[in-house]
Amino acid sequence: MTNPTLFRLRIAYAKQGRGRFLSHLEVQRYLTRLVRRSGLPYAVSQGFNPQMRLATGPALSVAAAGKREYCDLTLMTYVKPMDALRCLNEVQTDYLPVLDAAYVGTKEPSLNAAICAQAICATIEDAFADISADVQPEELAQQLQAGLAALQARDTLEVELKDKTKVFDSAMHVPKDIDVVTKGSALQIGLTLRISPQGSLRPDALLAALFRAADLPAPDIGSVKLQRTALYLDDGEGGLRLPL
Amino acid sequence: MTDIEEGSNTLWSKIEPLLAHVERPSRYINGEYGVPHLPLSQSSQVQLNVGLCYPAAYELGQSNQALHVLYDQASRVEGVRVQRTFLPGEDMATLLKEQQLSLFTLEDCTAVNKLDVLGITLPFELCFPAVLEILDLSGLPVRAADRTADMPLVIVGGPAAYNPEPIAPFVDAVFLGEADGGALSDILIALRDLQASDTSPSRQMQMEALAQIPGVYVPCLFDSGVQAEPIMRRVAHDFHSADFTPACLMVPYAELIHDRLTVEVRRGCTRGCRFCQAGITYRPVRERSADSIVAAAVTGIERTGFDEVSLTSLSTTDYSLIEEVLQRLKRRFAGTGVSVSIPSLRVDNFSIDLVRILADRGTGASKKSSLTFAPEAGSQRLRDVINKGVTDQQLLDTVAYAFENGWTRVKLYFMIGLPTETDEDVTAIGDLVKQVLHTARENVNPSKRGSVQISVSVSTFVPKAHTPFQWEPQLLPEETLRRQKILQGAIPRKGIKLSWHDASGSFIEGLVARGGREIAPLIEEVWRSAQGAVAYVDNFDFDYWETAANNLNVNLESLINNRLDSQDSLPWSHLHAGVSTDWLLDEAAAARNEQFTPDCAFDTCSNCDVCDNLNVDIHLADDTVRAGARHD
Repeated sequence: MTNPTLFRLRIAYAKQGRGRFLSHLEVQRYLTRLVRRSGLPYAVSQGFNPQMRLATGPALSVAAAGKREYCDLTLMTYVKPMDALRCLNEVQTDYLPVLDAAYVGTKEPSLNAAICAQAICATIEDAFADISADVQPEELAQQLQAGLAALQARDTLEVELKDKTKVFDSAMHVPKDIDVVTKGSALQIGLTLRISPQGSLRPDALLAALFRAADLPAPDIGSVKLQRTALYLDDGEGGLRLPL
Repeated sequence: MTDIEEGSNTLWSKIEPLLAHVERPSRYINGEYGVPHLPLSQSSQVQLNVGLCYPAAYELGQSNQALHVLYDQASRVEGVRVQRTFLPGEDMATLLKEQQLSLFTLEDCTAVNKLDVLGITLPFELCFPAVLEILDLSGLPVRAADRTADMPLVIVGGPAAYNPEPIAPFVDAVFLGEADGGALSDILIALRDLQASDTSPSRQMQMEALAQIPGVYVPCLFDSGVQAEPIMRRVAHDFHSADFTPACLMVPYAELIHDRLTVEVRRGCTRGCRFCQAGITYRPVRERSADSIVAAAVTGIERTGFDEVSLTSLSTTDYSLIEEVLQRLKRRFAGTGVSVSIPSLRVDNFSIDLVRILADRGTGASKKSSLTFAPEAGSQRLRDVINKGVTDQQLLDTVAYAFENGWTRVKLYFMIGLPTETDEDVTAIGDLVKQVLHTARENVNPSKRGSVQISVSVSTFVPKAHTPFQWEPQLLPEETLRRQKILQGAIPRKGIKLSWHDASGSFIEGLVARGGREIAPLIEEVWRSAQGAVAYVDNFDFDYWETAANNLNVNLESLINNRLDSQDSLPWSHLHAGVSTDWLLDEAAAARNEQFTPDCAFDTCSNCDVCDNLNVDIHLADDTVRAGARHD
């Protein structure tokens, strides 16, 4: 049963700079230590091995940055969101700055259950290095759009992940459209992907499939900078809304 | 600003693209909470760039308590910029070699070869090939004689530095003892001032300056007769009185091997186990006050956000006010999810009260973790030989208390190959383990009887320098394997998890632990033939050593299996750990006579001479404990 005297503070933070190389577990560990340092009156779980009641949103892969990520922290006493933000800001690192905080209802579904979509921006430095010098930026964009159409036309999309293959329903997981922008030698691709409890298509896996379908050489993973620019909740009316 | 300012010497732009191709890239990104950031505007004030290196991966090295203490102390020296570097993962090392990039520091991501000083901790003997790999990855010649004045001075210290001869040709200086009592500052200030007075001091000037500092051994000056023996170990005289809450408490992102706050409560252990090198090289016992320990733990948790604090020492349950400290921390951390742990336990002072405090979930040291005890030998006779003053009954009583109070797992450490050991002594380990298993099952809650687990870890005795057993022979691998087989037959299979150290690994550890300068070419040959792979302990392969020994015409067995003559000079005779050779010989004789030598921290002085030689005295937090002790 929900304890009526507890408060659920939703915190928005960024994962940036060199911090993009942190794993989800490392971010979670950082957040619990951040909260303990901040002096906020956090609640701990019952049981033999009490743990801080802090729940993060969907995992962001190693090497991916996050413009606005979220976690829910349960507090034992009410603290003004601005005061909580100040406490957290005082003891944070540059890689994972806290951006915003606000209370949400304790009965609201968890972030992991409620978040249904993510917006991704992939920047590929020196994108034309492995592509024929004759290809113009506009042509590259067209090729990628054609690749997307090819992926959409399939029933399923198979993704190799370590030693196993995962199969995704194309209609559900392949984005309806992508934004392709070239800046000098860099290529920027914006897309929105669905997140579901049954599984989510990883942005890097989609990009690899997209380049393959577009008959383009896959970029070196070291030259791709992924950033999750937004996470969305279902607004209940067929649209999307921000968690905070 | 979303990232660290990039100085002109940074390698970051070259390292960053590599991170997508390596495991655990968080090892290399710096920026942990608590790491001091040096603004570029202040970089011109740096007179001495110092790197502190642990020759293992980040998650092991960053766990090292000494690294934190020394980092903090170095960062307080004016004009000194201190940075960290570790042995990179094999994947990163391969990429650095392919891209012809130097090993780099974490803080500024500068090439290690651009530093003025590189200080390397030597935690154990088998890390010596890793030191060579680190020098090579840094673009430095591995032999000190081949390095030039524009390259960093390489200074080593730590537990494996007490016989540094096998690694001496690769380093410029060796520090013996505790560097945190002002010794590190002495070294850095001397080098900084030399740098300030002459912008390009010669290597000879630097060496001579180092040789003036007590506790510093400079092999090339010793060889040429400039530095005289003995070089005496240094102690931190202010250990028990100094404010020891570090100014910079680093909080890693990556999960460490020991991922918690550590508070050193006590230094030294004079229980007098005759095989134990740390028992010699950290004596005498000095304890911090209960107030300062509690304050350091509370402040440390507040400032770092860790959820566990470990009270560390060679034997924490010997700390004279351990129950008081645990009770106070239990009250302070109640309801916060913060736990308190003790890494090393002794069976003879693990009291019922202590069991009860540790069993209380509010304190931490939670029941789900196992308790660890080190009887070391299975028979009482052999425990008397090694001066391990515990009895079977004490161990069984402790196990009974612990299992009554909710623990279901216990880990026991034993050694085989101890001096005078017979097959009956080996079999006795099995007998004792059976009794422990029986006692555990009898005393545990019946509903948990199935989850009782006894882990038995068996290492092979390796005689170490400066100990009463330093003259003893070591088992050859074939004999070690034979005794391991006897042990395997004597240990019940059900409910016992048995593991042991690799026989050939212990053999090589012994070779390096008591070897002289003649071992250096062997280490270098092994490292070269394995192309650096042996830098990683997991890659240990005896074949490399055997082949290198054949190539260099070295008889490994004769170096290991012979009793050394107590009249002969030993490779470490010019280095003084503080205790007298006469006392070591007396202890060796006492071992043969199975005589017990009491702990001078609580009982009479055993006349080891360390207090006089190092001008230091025993200091206990609770003075009343020593009230009845006689101290000559």
